[in-house]
Amino acid sequence: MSIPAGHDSIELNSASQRGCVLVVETDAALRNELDSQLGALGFNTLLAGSGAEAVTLYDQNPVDMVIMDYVTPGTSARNMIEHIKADKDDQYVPVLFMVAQAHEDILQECMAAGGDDFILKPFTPAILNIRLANLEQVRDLRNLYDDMLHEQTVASHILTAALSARGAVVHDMQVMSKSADIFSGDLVLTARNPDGDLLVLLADFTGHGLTAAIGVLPVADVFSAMAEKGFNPQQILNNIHQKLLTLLPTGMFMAACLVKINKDLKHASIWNGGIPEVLLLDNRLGKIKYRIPSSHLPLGISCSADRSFVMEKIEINAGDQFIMYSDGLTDATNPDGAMFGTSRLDLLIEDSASNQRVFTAIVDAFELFCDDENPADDVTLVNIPCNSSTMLPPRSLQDVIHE
Amino acid sequence: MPVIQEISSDGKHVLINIKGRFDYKVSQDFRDAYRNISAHDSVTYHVNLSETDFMDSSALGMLLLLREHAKCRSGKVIISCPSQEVDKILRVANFEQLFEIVITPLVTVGGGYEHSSRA
Repeated sequence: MSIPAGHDSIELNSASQRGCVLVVETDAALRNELDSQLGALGFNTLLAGSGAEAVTLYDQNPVDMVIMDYVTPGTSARNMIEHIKADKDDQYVPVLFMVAQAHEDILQECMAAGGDDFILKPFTPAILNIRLANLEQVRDLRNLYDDMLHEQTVASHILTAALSARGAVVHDMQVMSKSADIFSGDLVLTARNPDGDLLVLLADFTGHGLTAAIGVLPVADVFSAMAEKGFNPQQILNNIHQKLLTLLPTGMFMAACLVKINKDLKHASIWNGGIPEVLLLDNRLGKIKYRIPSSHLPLGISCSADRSFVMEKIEINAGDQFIMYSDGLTDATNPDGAMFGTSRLDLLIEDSASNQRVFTAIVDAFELFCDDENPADDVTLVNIPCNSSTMLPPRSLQDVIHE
Repeated sequence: MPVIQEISSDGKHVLINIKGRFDYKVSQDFRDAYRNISAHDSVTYHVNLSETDFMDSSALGMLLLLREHAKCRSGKVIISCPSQEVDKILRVANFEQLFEIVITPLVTVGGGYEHSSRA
């Protein structure tokens, strides 16, 4: 079968199942041989005799794969591939290079140009088929992965919107959250009870990503509904725990810390199950005045012993401030493999507590430390100043640094 | 291999040794270390963390899965020799409420293992 190269050379075989291959080959005889081989393997073909022709064909037709000779005159191979890889709505179009010699230099150049694989000439239809089948697998996986990322991004937006609609707006509260994945398994929830007390929950699900984030919404539901109805923190924690026991498989749990700041700004109470020490700072003295370590098991772990959800009561003064963080903050490693660590955090706090810039100081130091590296785990840092404006009904949006 | 498993000759003790980072990357190996063994009842699983330098929350999850596995077969789990760093992670999660955590090293006695009296 002899088909001239060019626009009118499109051969559509209705029996083809494997999509369309664009063949770029200067030698007409070889081009036609490839055409019949590919047809027999179940592909449609587009035939081009030069790089320029290939670009035109590529732009005008849906192409699933490209087979091209390493030495194609006209548009250089590199330009041709750049064009292909930049186009098609981010669809992945594999490129297979045909080379006459398996010289390392040539092969390296093929890969550097953006080729996905090579095949040594001459080749049999069986070998061509193996190479193409591999590329098809890679392409299908890539497309699946892209679809998944897209779905997760949309779902993550919905989740974020659903969560922010539930929380109480807390003036002056600051939150830094960085997720290791599209989804975060860290969670910060706020609510006001009918007495005007403020409740803040910091939670950290096992692992990260979608599996970690799956429990976020039911927890937020229980927390908001119960807090607004005036249930006490013990009852709220117990209900979240019971809910998680039914939802989560063994091996997954939720570390959590609940802080309640009374409206009078004289008392606060805390429950910490699996979250690093919560710190209470005295800003007048510029010191850490109280540390509340984890003294309970995380929520959602089945345990024959009775679980206690009794809050620890502490006295506070107006102007004090609570610092809470998930272990992703202190466990974060820099490119040299060093950990951010608790001693670095303590130093930062002691240095900046007197000028009331603790939150900014930690955020700045953390950014500098990580040097643009993505965190390995979800990171959350919360700063709750205990002052009259924190306790006021909402006036402005909370200051959220979200990345 | 970051996860090394040994079974005592009497078959009543399984030693699981984790080297380096105990995180989600070793979950399959860790599971295999206690699942792929001939079913014995009343087995004691010793998780040796003396060579473990970091543990994440999924590692805590893996310990919970092992605990359940052992419980279903009337066995038990003993965590031994965590480094200061790893011990801190276990304490924050209050896992001493769920597991026996010992600081003495394991020694071979007869066909099984025992925790030496030396601290």
